[in-house]
Amino acid sequence: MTAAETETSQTSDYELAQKAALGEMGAFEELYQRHNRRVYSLCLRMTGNVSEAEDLAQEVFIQLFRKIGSFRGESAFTTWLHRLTVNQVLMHFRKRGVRMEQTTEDGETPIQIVKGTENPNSMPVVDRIALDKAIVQLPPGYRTVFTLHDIEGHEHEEIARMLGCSVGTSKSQLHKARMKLRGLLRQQKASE
Amino acid sequence: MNCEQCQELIHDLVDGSLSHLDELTLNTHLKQCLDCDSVRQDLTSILSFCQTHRGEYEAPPNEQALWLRIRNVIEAETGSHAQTAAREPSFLGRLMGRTWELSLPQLASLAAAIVLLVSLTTVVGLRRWDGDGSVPNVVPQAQASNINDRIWQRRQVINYWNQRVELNKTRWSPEMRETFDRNLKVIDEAVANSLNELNQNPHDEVSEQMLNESLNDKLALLKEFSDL
Amino acid sequence: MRIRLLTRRRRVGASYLAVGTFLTLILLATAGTVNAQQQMSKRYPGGKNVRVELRNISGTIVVESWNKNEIRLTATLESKKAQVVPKQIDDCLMVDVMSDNRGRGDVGDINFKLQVPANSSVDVETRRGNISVSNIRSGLVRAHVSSEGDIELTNISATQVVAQNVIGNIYFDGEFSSGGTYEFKSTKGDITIRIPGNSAFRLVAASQMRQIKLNDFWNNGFKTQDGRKYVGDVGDGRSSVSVTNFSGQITFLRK
Repeated sequence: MTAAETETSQTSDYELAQKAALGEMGAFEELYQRHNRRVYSLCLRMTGNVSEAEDLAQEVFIQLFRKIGSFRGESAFTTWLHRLTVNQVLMHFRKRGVRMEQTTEDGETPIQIVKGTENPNSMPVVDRIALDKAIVQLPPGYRTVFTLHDIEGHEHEEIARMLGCSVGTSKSQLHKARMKLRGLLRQQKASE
Repeated sequence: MNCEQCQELIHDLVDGSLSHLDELTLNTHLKQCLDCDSVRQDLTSILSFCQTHRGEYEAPPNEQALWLRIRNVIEAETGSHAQTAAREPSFLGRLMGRTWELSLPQLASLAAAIVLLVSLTTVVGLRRWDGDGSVPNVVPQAQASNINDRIWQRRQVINYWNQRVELNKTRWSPEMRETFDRNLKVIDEAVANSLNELNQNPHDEVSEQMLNESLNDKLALLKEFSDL
Repeated sequence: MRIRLLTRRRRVGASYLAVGTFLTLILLATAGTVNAQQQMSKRYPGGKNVRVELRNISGTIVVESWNKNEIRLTATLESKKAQVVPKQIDDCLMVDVMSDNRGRGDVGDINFKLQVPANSSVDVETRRGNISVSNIRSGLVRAHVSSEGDIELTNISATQVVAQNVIGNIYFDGEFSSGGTYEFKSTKGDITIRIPGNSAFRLVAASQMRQIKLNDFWNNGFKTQDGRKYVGDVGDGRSSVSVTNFSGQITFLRK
């Protein structure tokens, strides 16, 4: 590794952000290289559509460049970027007329209580392909909460703030999403 | 504890946020109820998969192409800002950057001069407006440059999607290819027509709107067919 | 004379034979087509807020309401390798031909007919082909043809209506709800809107070729830019209507 490479790898996101804010495209490109997969994956999981995810990732980085001067380093850069990405996707949902309320209001879709003679061994081994396939089939509201909580590891309080709903709603949506996902994974197994 | 209550608590159990007492009660139910226990097992394996693979990300289909698109848009934006910024100091920067120290008579004269200047400008402006019904000549140039910037930005994105369409086009049926070409031609004609109108009359809002709409339509057509 | 008669008879016989062979060939060809086509029909339970989302590649889409609280989907598939896998999640029925057939190459036309409860939200699109939606009273009716195909929306009362194509006519017959938004857009095609005389809406209509006919809905309050764009309120302008085409007529009719 050369000295220059060592220096680049040691440059923090905050330093890069400061340089990018001064118009240094090299620094911004480095930020893109570091974070594009994270941003794209989040967009993909939330939308379930490759082309939409690509467009959104593009828009996120353009927005990032416009707003990068306002990053003061109070939080981790990844957290800040993550929030920017989620907001971008939610805005996209609103523009597309996706009815988030259908799946973010309590009580609309009751959790299905599992009863009867289910074979406890019929749950397939969870793998990336099966999970991604099932996540795509979740309604947007469920998908968003599941992605943010179980995949990305956010707390309900944070999700509630991002989505503008109550902690209770976030929890209840997550529970419904998990149960729906479980059903979808089992369906996949059954149709194999 | 019934199954409904149990399955509600299972979520807290797998999240690790269940109180010790609730956990004991829940475990008692789970030992007796195969269905609820199966829910617990399934959710545990889903969550454990998610946790194990947290931080693994998928790359966009073409990372480099995506970066080029982003850079093009940013450079187009910063380019036009830079142009504006470069122009500003010559007019305002020099004027506003200075410190002015004026006496009362000087201030009064300046105020009178400003009033006179404003009145004259208004009269001249109104005459021109009445005369040919158009706005002063400065606007078209700025407007034209904005339009050109926007078209240039849009064309960068269009080129990208065009390449994607071209890659996939061979897989389409002949009918689909004909349909696509025919529709693209119709949109291109609309773009050319609007541009032509704008060249003749740079203030023409309807043509500008039509041009924007047509470019959007072209982009949408390319995107929608790039998936085929 | 006799020889002539014989020749004529032979000619007549030959003609019958030719016609017979031709008809047989047509029958065989038609039978082949019928065999090659597949048809599927499935019913799905309806719910409180039924929503149908259909993404087709090529073929017609017909959506109509019926008086049952369930959805019936009928699909005619031109190619044997095509498949349609509808998914029902809660009250939403989703069909995505594109993802159902990824990697299968050209799957030809798939024609859909959907019978839905009248209060269903309808969101349908196809890359090419006609779309017809009728007798729907709900929150959303969206019909999108990426390239060419006529769109016909009849007896529609929805708070949001979107109809868009590149080449093809758009016909809307229905009513504008208070506070609703309505968007009709075509590059090359006539757009006809037939609504009750007492409709109240704010209109922005633009057509580069100056072919906008507001008829009974025109009033002195409309501002126009040399006949290519009209902006104004009809009644108290409670709903918002946007109509745009590049070439073709925009016509408002009173019903």
